[in-house]
Formats: sequence, structure tokens, C-alpha cells
Amino acid sequence: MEIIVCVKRVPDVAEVEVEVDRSGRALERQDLAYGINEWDNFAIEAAVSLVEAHGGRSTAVTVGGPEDEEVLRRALAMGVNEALHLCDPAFAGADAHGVALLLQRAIAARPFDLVLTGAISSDQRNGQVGGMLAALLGIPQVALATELKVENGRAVVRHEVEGGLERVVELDLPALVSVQTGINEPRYVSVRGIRKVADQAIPVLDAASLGLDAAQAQALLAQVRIEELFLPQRGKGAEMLEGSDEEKVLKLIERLRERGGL
Amino acid sequence: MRKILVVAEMGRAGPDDSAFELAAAARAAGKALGEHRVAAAVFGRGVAEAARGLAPWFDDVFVFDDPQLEIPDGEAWRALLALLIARERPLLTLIAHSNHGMDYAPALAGQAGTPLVCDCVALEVRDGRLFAVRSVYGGKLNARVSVALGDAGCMATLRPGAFPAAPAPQGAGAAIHAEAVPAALTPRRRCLGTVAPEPGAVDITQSAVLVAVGRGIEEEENLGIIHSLAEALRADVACSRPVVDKKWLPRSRQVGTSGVTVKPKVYLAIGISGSFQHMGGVKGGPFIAAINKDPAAPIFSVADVGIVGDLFELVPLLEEKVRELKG
Amino acid sequence: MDFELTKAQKDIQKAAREFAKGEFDKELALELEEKHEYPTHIWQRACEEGFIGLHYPEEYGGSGYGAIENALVVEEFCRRDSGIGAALLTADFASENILHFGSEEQKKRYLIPTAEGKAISGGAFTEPDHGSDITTMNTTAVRDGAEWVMNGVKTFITNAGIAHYYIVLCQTVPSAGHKGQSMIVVDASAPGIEIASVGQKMGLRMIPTGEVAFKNVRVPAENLVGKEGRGFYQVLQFFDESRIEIAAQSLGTAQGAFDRALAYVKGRRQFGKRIADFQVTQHKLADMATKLELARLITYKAAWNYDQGRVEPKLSSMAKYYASRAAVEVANEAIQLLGGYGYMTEFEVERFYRDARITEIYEGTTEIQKNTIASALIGK
Repeated sequence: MEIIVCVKRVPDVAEVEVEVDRSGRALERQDLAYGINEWDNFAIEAAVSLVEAHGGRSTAVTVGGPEDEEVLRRALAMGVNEALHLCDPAFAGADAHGVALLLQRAIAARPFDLVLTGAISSDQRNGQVGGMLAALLGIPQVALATELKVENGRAVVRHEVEGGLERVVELDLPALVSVQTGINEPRYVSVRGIRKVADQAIPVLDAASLGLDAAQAQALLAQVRIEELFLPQRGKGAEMLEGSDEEKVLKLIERLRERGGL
Repeated sequence: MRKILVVAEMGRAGPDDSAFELAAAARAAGKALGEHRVAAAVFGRGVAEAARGLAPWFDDVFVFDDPQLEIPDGEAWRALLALLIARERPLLTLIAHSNHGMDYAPALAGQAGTPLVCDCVALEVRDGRLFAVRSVYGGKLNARVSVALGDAGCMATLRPGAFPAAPAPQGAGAAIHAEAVPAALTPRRRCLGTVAPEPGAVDITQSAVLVAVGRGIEEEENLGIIHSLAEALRADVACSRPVVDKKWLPRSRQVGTSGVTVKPKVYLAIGISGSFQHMGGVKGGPFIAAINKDPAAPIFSVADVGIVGDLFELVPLLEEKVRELKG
Repeated sequence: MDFELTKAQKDIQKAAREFAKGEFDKELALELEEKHEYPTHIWQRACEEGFIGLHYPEEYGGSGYGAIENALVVEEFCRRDSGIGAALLTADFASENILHFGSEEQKKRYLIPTAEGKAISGGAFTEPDHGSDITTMNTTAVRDGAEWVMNGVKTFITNAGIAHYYIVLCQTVPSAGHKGQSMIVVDASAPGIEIASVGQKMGLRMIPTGEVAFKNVRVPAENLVGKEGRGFYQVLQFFDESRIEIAAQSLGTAQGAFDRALAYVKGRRQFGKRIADFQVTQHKLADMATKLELARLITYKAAWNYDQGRVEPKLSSMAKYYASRAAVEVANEAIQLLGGYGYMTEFEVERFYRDARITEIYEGTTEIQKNTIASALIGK
């Protein structure tokens, strides 16, 4: 089977203080570590293990600048067979719809049975690309998948719905599945894997090769504009307990006692 | 006349709270547009009564009542909404940012060719554009984004709980429209069933005190200090998604929009960043205490008290002091 | 001039970081250190992912990378955990002698299992009477037909007791001094090998260090590694490579201590301010970060130089000398920044300090490195 897996490179902001740059519209990039979007890592693992089980070929695709190629190399090192890099200055500022549009143009001409995406990306947290891409490709889709099997030309997917419930749906292939974290256990990137793909060429597709006029691309790709980034109002915020660890813990016990936690 | 369409989700007993939140947000947006109508779309089997319940908040209610819609299926809603939107051409369509909404809204927008802004916590209409505030970068920043309210219209999903519901406006009272539902709605995606999480040994929805643990615990072996603290506090152990993803605790312990909803008196969040997906499962206004090593963790904006520090130090110390107190 | 790592090098660095983040665990490290236990499970996982022996050619189970890639992995591992990192880097310690000087048969027999996580290596050079001075060895190997008969005692041997094979420097012509030395590889299971403890160590507590005694140990003649009479020169050449690896260990250990100190001073408040807001703290951090940067530059340069095929003992010695000192100084300052907590096991920096301290001693003390540097400057 032919699997396309869409991936994105994102900054890791889990344990760092983030700052807004001088434009007011983007993150200050200095000192930020970048890597694969966590959800996409699960999508890559799903693609690789499905091909291991059923044969065929998997292809990783990303939309991004030259430095974003690293997530494609990572996917290749994990066992994805091919990669496509959609890269053109004209793609800068593309919104989720724009990204979906670019992906659709790159994918539509190729044979595919299954398209996988992460359910959301940790940076913009839109969770849109998968569903939009499915609509543009005219294929059925399901979001927030927690289990994925392929049998008899169909994908059987368990996905999250409300109230802690999960629903099992069956999709005719070709289909698009956007996966949740925890759907599998992504393998590590191994040194042998890196070696194996070190010389593998990654084709770059620019605006022209996707049939887009670079001059008009902006209007088409970037309908949703980021006006500003700002620190959220912290609400009332927590009362921060200070002092030595022992002092902090004793203060916490005091508060817990007042509120019936003891 | 400008139309705003609200997609109303149904709970077990009538419309979900989010339907009224969307209604209020739609009215507020409508004021900025001038003359407008606010419509709701309702899906299900035997939902006529629920639809009438919504009527005071809307000008029109489009009711899709059909056996095929007994289970809310994203692809079925997408198919029907695409037809409805093509016919009604709303300027703005508002959808709840629930798991269900996340399933169909992007595909719907892609199919209808309208821009979509997801997971909004604030909306404003001015200068022919929709401005929305959404949470980005793990809740550490907010983004104000905007999109033109053009011919194609625009869609937004709104975070449940972020928009206050409002009383029904005076004089409104919707016209109820029974909509036809074509046969074989979603031939390419079929629902095979619903799975409830395995009931756990402990029903955390009934717990008065919860010690909840998140990604910060780092390793399965480290859960011992959490169990031990919970025992000292006579509390139950709950967790956030990453702990269940790693299969360190069963799904029945997961609090959040994809887990269970809890309503304890005291919620002690340890090593939990505090995403809305997690906190969305903490209801009833408990006293929230948080321990996290990241001073910028969003949990500290919703907690009542917070400690910045190393949980591997603080948790055993807390347990020790609690045990001393209890003798 | 280009200070950028290649794409593959960046990928390897990231892969090592992710592996260490996923597999290393502070509580486990504390437990292993307390019990003096080797991180066997993590070592095997690291081999599965190709981190051990990545500088071997592919036909011997490696990935054909070099000193710089190896240094990047060692740095990342030690940065995450100085103890587990050191244990992993020593898993293939001295096996490079087989890689560079060994026969085809030896490479297949020893390197492949080492890369696959089935064998740990041990380098047996130091003797009770010959530490820094290895120009004469008391351990002897005497030819007896198709075998060598080995006798003598090696001490301070890393992996003593857990190694599957030892690379032993011994005197094959007793009267000829360093020109009469040869290198022999011995299976740890050979009859006549006895292991004894040398006592408790300040750091590196997950790695056994002991005495390895050879009492009439008989090994096949083909176990000679390299040329007879060239053992001393082979070891010196090996040091050019191994000292870069120790520099990388030092660098990682320093970076790990620094990371922890930085996080601490940003989080802790005293006298109404974050510790990080005091100028005295800021100056300490600036010094530490500068030392780190210098240690990194010289370590990478030495590794790069080695991979270019240039033999430059001076540079390897400078890298090891500087990086090991930086590690001790940075870890020491990290303890100071954490104050009382820095002295406590739970906060890790004391362990980083203890693990850093050996880097100024093993693989040639700082004094030996200075001798090497000086002799390159002024001649012998």
C-alpha cells in the first residue's frame, strides 16, 4: 500500500520561556530547539509499521523552509521510504488551508491509499490540515485516531469522541486519518537509520512545480493573518508559594487543610 | 440579510451547553454586522423537542432528524452542513471545538472553501474581518488572528467554556425548518460501534480529593511517589493524557476532554502543564494546587496555589509532612 | 572556515538526545550508582539503535562514522546523565585497537558483538607499578608453540569483571622496554584470569573498576593485535582517539551540570529576587558558559582533525586537558550555585562533579597531557 505522511517541524516550547519577536507576530527564534511535531511522530511510526506489515511504500511530506528538511530526514531515518519537501519563499505565512492546498497539489498526482497526519501541531494548534486536505482530495477522513488497522482495502479506526468515549469507524481507502498521541510507540531514530538515508535525495517542489503563480500564492495561501502574539492574561493566577521546599510544602498543607483536602 | 449559523451539539438531555455559548457569541458578532439572522443546525434522531428548546435563542433552526443521525458522526454532519451552507450561504459559521467539532469542521471548511479559525477563546467582528484570539505554543502565548468576511463566508470553532452563554433575546423565536436527509449519507465511512473505557478499579468521577499526575513524572517507575502521596492524603490518583499514552495508567484515570470529567473538592496537579484539554475535564470549581518545574506552565493561571519546583523533591516531602500531621 | 555540523551530524546529535531523554532516568541513575550496577538494559538498547561502535565500518556492525559523531553521542549521553553516559561510552572502550590494528578475524570476532550489545570491551594497560609511565610493563606474554602464556597484574581496569574481552598491553620481549611491548586480546572466560576489587570510587560508580590478574593464561598466537613489538606505539596512537572521547565526556558532563544549575537559578528566589537576577550569579554563569563553549570548540576541532586523518597528539591532549578541567570547574560552580541542595544527591550536580573528576585523571592525567603538548612544542 502507498502511504503519505504529512509532518511538520515545530519549536519545542514545553520547558522554556517564550518571547515574541520584534514584529510582534512570531516567536523569538533564538535559542529555541526545533524538532518533529509530537503528533506527527506517531503518524510516522504508523506509516512505517503499516508498510512493514503490508508492504508498499511510505512518503513523508512537509511544507516549510530549507531548515525544515530535518524532519523529513528524520522520517526517512525512522523507515519512511521517500520524502517530498514543499519549499518556496512564496509559501511563507501559509495558513492551515494554504498548507492543505499545497499538500493536495503535491499528493494528488501520486498514487496513495492512506494519508496520515498528526491530529494537531503543538505550535499553532489548529488541528485543521488533515480534515482540509481530505476534503480537497475528496476522500473520507477521521480525526483523533487512537487505533488504526488496515484490512481488506479498508481502514478500521478507533477515534476519540466526547465524554471519554471512543468510536470505531471503517473507512474505504483511499482515506485520511489524523492520529492522536499514544496510538503507538514511536521508535527511536537510530544511527544506522541516519546512515542509511544520509545520501538519499529529497526532491524539492516549489510554487511553479505545484502549478502556483508565486506572485499570487500569498493571497491564496494566507487568508488567516496572524495580527499579534501576546502573553495570555493570567486570570487571577495562582498564589505562588515561596521559601525553602519545606516551607513551600508546609504552606501547601495549610491551604489544603483550609479547603478540606486533609 | 447576513446570516450566522451555529451548529448545535446535543448532550444526553437536550442541547449541550456549548450550543448556548455559540448562540451568545453569534449574537455578539451579529451586532457588529448590523441586521442579521442567527440560525442553528441540529442533528440527531428524535431531536424535534430539543430543537424547540433552542428556538428562543435563534431566528431559524434547521432540524436534521433521521435514524442515520442517531450517533453523531462527523462525516455525516459534514455532508449535511456542506449542503446547508451552500444553500444558506452564512457569513459566519460557529462550531464547538469539541472532539466531534475537530473531526468535521476542518473537512467541512475544506469542502465549502471557507477559511476556518479553530479553538477560539474570543471573537470580534470589525472592518469587514473576523478577529479571533486563540491559544498557541502550548498555552504559553495567545495569537490574535484575522480573516476577511468575504463572499465565501468564514468558520470558527469556539473553545467550550470560553464564551459565556446569555439569556434568550427578547422577541426572538425561531422558525423551525425540517430538513430532508438523503439516504446513504456517508457511504465511505461507516460507524461500527462505540467503546467506553474499561471501568477502572477506582471511579475518579466520585473522588473528593484527586492527586493528578502528568508528563513531569518522566518514568513509570516514578509513579510510586504519587500513589504513596495519594494514600497519605486518602485521595485517588488521576492523570493527564501523556501518562495514559505511555500506558502507565489506564484510560479510566485520564481527566480531560478526551477522558473523564471529575468534580472533586481538591485537585492537586503534579507535573501537569494544564492544557485546556486536561482542565476541561475538571469541573465544579475545586481548589486546585499545582506543582510544576516550569514557572510559565499554564496550570499556574488556573490553579489557586502553585509551587515551582522539582516534584521528585516536593512530593515525597509533602507525603512525609502529611503523614506526620495525621500521626 | 565553517563551524556548522553536517546534516547527518545534527541528526545524530538529536537522535542521541532523544534516546537519552527517553531511556535515561534520574531515579534509576541514583539507584544504579548506589548499588554499583552497570546500566545493562540501557547499554543493550543503545547498541540496538547503533550508538555504540558507530565509528566502526558497516561490515563490523557500525555505521562508518568517525570521532566527531562519536563525540556528539558521548556528549549528549553524558549531558543527560554523567554516570550512565560514562558507562555507555566505556562499553566499547579500547576496542578501537582491534579496529585499527587487528586482523580481519579479530574484527569479526570482537567488534561485531560489541556493536550488537553482546560484548563489552576492556582495555588493560595500567599496572600497579606503571600508571602514567607505561614504557615498561611487568605483565608478560611468552610464546609457547601456537600460544601466548600471559602472566602479570593489571589495575584500575575499567569494566573489570563485566568485560567479555580485554586488550592487554604486555611485554613480549622483557628486556626491550617499550620496544618489546605487544598488544594481545584475551577472552574474559580464559582460565587463569582473576578479577579483584580495587575499592570504592569517588565517581563512575556504575562502572566496575578492578584488578585483572593473569596467571598462566594461555591464548592462541593469533590473538596478537597488530604487530609484535608495536604495542606501545599502538596504545599511544589509540590515546589520540580516546582522549577526544574523554574530552567529549567532559564536555557533556559540564553541559549537564550547567543545564541543571541554570534551571535552578531561574526557578529559585532568595531575598525577593530570582538567584539568576544577582550579578554574582550572572558572572558565574557567564564564566561557565564560556568554558563550555571553549571546551566544545577544541573537542570538536580535535575530533574533526582526527577524522581528517591527521595525527596530532598535541591537539587531542589539549582537548582532553582543557575539557576535563572545564568539566570539574563548571560542575564545581554548579554545586556552589545550588548551595546546600548542590551537595545533596537528589540534585545530581554533586554526581556530575564526582563523575567529572576522573576525566582529569584517566586516559592520561592532566600532567601527562601537558607533557605531550610540551614535547610537541619543543621536541623531546
